[in-house]
Amino acid sequence: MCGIVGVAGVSDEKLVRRMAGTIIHRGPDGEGYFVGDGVSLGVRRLAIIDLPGSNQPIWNENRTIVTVFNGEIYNYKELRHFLEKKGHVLRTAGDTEVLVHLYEEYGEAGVHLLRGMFAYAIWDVQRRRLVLTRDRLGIKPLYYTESGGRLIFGSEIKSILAIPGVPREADHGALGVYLTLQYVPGPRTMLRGIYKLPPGHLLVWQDGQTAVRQYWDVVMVEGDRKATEETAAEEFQALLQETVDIHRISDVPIGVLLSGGIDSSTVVAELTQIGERPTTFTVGFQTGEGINEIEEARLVARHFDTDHHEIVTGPSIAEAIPRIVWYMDEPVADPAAVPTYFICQLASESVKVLLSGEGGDELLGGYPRYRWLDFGEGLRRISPGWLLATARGALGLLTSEGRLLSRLSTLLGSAPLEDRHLEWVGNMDEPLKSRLLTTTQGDGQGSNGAAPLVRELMARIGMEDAIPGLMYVDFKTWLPDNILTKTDRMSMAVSVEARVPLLDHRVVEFVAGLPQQVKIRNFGTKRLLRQAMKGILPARTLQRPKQAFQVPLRTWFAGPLRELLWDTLTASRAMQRGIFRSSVVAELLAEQAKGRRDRSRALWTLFWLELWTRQFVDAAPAAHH
Amino acid sequence: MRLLLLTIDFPPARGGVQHLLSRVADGLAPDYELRVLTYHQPRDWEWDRARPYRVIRTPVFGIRSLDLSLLGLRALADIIRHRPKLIICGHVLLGPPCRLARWLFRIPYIAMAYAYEVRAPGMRRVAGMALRGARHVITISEFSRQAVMALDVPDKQVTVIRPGPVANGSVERGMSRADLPLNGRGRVLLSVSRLAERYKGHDMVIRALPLIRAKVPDACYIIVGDGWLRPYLERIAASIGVRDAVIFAGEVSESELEAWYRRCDVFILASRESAVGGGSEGYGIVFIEANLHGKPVIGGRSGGIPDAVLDGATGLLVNPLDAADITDAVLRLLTDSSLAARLGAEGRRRAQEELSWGNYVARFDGIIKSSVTTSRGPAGT
Repeated sequence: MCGIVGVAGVSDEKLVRRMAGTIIHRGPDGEGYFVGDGVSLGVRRLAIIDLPGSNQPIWNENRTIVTVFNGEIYNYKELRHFLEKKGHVLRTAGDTEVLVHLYEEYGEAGVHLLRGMFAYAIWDVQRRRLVLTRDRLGIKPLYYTESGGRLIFGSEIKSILAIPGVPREADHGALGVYLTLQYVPGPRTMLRGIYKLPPGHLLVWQDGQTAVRQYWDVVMVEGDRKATEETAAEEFQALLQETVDIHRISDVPIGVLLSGGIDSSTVVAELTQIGERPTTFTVGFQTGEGINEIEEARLVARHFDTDHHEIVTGPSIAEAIPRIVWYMDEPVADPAAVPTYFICQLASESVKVLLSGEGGDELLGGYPRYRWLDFGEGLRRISPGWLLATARGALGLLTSEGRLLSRLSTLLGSAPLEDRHLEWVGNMDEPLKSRLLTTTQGDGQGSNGAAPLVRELMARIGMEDAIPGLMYVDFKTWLPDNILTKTDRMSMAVSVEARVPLLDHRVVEFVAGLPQQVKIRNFGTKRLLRQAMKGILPARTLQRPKQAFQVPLRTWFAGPLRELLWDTLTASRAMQRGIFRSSVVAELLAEQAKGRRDRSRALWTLFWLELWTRQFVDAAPAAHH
Repeated sequence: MRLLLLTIDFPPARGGVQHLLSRVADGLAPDYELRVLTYHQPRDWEWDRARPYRVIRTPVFGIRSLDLSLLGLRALADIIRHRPKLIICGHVLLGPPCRLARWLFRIPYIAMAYAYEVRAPGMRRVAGMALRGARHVITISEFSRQAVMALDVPDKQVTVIRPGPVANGSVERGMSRADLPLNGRGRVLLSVSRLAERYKGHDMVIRALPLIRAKVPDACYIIVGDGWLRPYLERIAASIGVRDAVIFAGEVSESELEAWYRRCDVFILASRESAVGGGSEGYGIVFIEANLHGKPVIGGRSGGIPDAVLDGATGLLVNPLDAADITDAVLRLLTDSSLAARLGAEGRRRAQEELSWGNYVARFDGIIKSSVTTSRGPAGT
C-alpha cells in the first residue's frame, strides 16, 4: 500500500506535493505531508489496515521521530503488544506506528523485528537524520538520488523526476545490461544518478552525507548433509500455512492471483486449509501460441471450490501498452507485465489485496536451468576441451536456429559460468547486440556489462557448487529488479496491493538453510514444495513441470501490436537517437514480419525502451496518466 | 550383586550421555559387582585401566548394524557366563539383547531414554520395544518422559532423574581468562554445543545481535563447538553486519571451556523444537554447567530445556523463534546486574546441591534395588 516521497536538506511542501502527485495511483485514499527543519516528506495512502486511524505521517509520543511508510508489517500486532509492554504509547490501531517506536528502542536495527514488505523513511528530528529502509527481498521499491547536498527519494522514479533540476539522462552504461537482461540490475537504474536502494539495505543521511549498508542477505547452507526430506517438507508446510495465514491480515477484501502452477496453487490451498474460501483470478490469451494457463487454473479453482474469475487479454492491448510502460516506471521489458496489468485490473473491481505465488521459482529452485548449468559445469570438469569444442562445432553445422540448440551449445561451451548463465537467460546474443549498438554506445565492457556483476555475486557467495551461486544471482537481480518490480508496479497501477507470502523472510531463511538436494535433485525441480503439498494439491498440479509464463509475443507482433511496433521503432525520433543502428532495427523488424526468424524478444526489449524513453527522458513524466 | 551396563556411548569419548553413564558406573562400583560392555575407542585402555570395574569392549567396523550385532552377541555371551542380576540398557538400540536375556534367563533390565532416539520418527518401533520390555525406564527430563510414555510405556514405570554438570566448575583448574581469544572487555554471551544441528538456535541468537548491540554496543557472542554448520553461521553473521561481534572458538579443551564459562556474562542456547518430530533438546547439561559457574542462563522454551532452566529462578526461558523475546531476555541480564547475580547464584546452588551426581546415583541405586526386588510378570510387548 501507499507511495512515499521526500527530500532531505530542503523544507518545501510544494515540492513534495508535486512529487506525490505523480504517484496518486499508489495511494488514492489519502495524502499526508510533513515539512520540518531541513526535511520534507510526503505520502499517498492506500488504506488496507486501520482505515480511519493510520493516516500518515505518523509520529512517536513526543514528536521527535516521524515516518512515511509503504508496505505491510504482518506481525504488527505482536510488535504493538511488545512495544506497549515496554511502555510505549500507541495512538493508532495500524502497523505504521510500530516503525517509530522500534526506532526509539533500537535505532535502525529495529528493522530486524519486522516481518513483511516495506520501504520507509524515518526522520529523527533531534539528530536531523534520515533513515531509509527497504525490505529484505526488495518487494517494495525505493529510489533515490543526491543533488547539491540534498537527498531525494521516492517509491517511483517519476516522483524524483518531478523535481526541477534533476537531470533526466539515460545511463548508456546500463544499456548493454538492459539489452541482455531486459531490466537494469540494482543499484543502477536506466537514469544516470538515480539509484535503487538494494533489498536488505538501509540508507542513512545526516549532515549532507549519505551511507548505504546491508542489514540482511539471503544465506544458503553449504554441503549435502543428511537431508531429512520428509521432516523438512512437513515443517515447511507448517511454516507456509502460518505465513499465508498472517498474509491475510487486512481490513479490506483479498484475492489470489492463480496461474495454475504449483506456487500460486499452494497459496490457494493453504488459504483453504485455514478455512477461507479464496477469490481467485486467472489471465489467459486469445491465441493458441504458448501455453494457456486457464485450463490448469480452472482445475485448481474447482478442486478448492474458489470464487474464480478469468480474463482473456484481447485486441485492446495496443492502446494500453504506453500506459503500462508509464506505470512500470523503470524499463522492465518483461512481456508478462501486460497480462499482469490486466489481471490486476480485473481483480481491482472486487478486491484491494492480492496474494501471489511470486518468488517460488527463485526460492525453491523452480528453474530447470539451475540443474542444466550445473550439469554443464560437471561436463566441463570431466571432458577434455577438444571434445566439447568438436561437439559445439557439430551443433553449429546443424543450424544456428532455435532456443534449444543455442542452449545445448551454451552447455557445451567453455565460457565461465557467469557468461553461460547470461547466455541462457539473455534476450539477445552478443553478436546481435554489438551489431545493434552504434559505436558511440555501449559501456565499453566488451561482451556485456552484466558479467562482472554476476561474477561478483557468485564470488560473494563463494561456494563450490554452481546451483547455490546461480540461485543467489537470481535473488539479487532477477527477483527484485524484474519479478518484484513488475508485481509492485502492475498492481499499484490499479491501486491494488500485491503480497508475496512465499517471500516471507522466515520462509526464505528456512528454505535457504536446507541442503540444496532437498530442493533440486536429478533434474527434478521444487522437490521440497512438491513433497510438502503432496495430498493437498491435485496430483496433476503437483506433477506439472515448470512452465514459463508464455506470452504470445509473436502473435501480438503479427496482429494487435504490429502497427504500434513499427511506428515506434521506425519513428524519426527513435532513429535520431543514434543509439541503435537503424539498419539493424529494420532488419529485425523485417525478419519478424516475414516470419523468417523469431526476433520477438529482442524487438520487445527495443520497443519497451523506446516507449519508456519518450515518457521519462524526452519529457518529464506527466503528473498523472 | 552383579550388574551389567550395556552401552554404545562411554568415555573416553566426550559427550553428555558418555559422562552420565560413567558417573553412574563410577557411583555404583563400590556397591556392586559391575561390568561395562561397550565399543572400542582409540586409547580407551588409558581410561579403562583407572576404573574400579571391568570394561569390556567390542571392535568397531563402522557399519552400524554389524557393530551393534557384535556388541549384542558379546553381551549375550557375557550374560550366560556371569548371570547378572540386572542389566542397565544404556541405549534403546541395545534393546534386543536385553529382551532376549529377560526372555531366556528372566534377567530384568532398566532402560535409559534421553531424547531424540525416542522421538525420531524412524525409531518408534525399536525404542518402543526396548522401553516396554524394561522393568523401569530412567529418563532425563519431563519432555523425554512424555516421549517415552507416547510409546505406551506405563506412567509409573518411568522416572525422571535430572543429570548434573559435566564440567566440574573448579576455579583453580583451567586457563585463565586472559588466555582467551577475546580482544577488549566486551559483554559476553556464550553458547556451547556441536554445530551440527540447526535446532540449537545459534542462528536466532546471531540474528538478535544487531538489536542487542543497539543498546549494549560492546556485546559479543562466543560460540564454542564446531561442526558443518559453522560456515553457514559465519555467513549469517556477515549478512547482518555482526561478523566482528561473533567469535567462533571451535572445539576447545576442558580447561578453555571452564575459562569461557567463567568469562561469560550470560549463557544462552535458544534451542527450538522442529515443528514435526525432528530434533530438539532433551535436557541441556550445558545450562547446568554454566549455572555451576554462577552464570545466569537463557534457554529456548522447547524440548527438555524447562527441566534444565528454571524460568525466573536459575535463568530465563524465551520463545526461540522470536528475536524480540531473545533480545529482551539478553538485555535484561546484561543491564540488570542484580537479577543476573540472583539467577546465577540460585543456579549454582541448584547445580551443586539438587543436581549433584551423588544425588543422581543415589536415586539410580534406589531404582536398581526396587527393580530387582519387585517380582512381576513379564511386561506387555
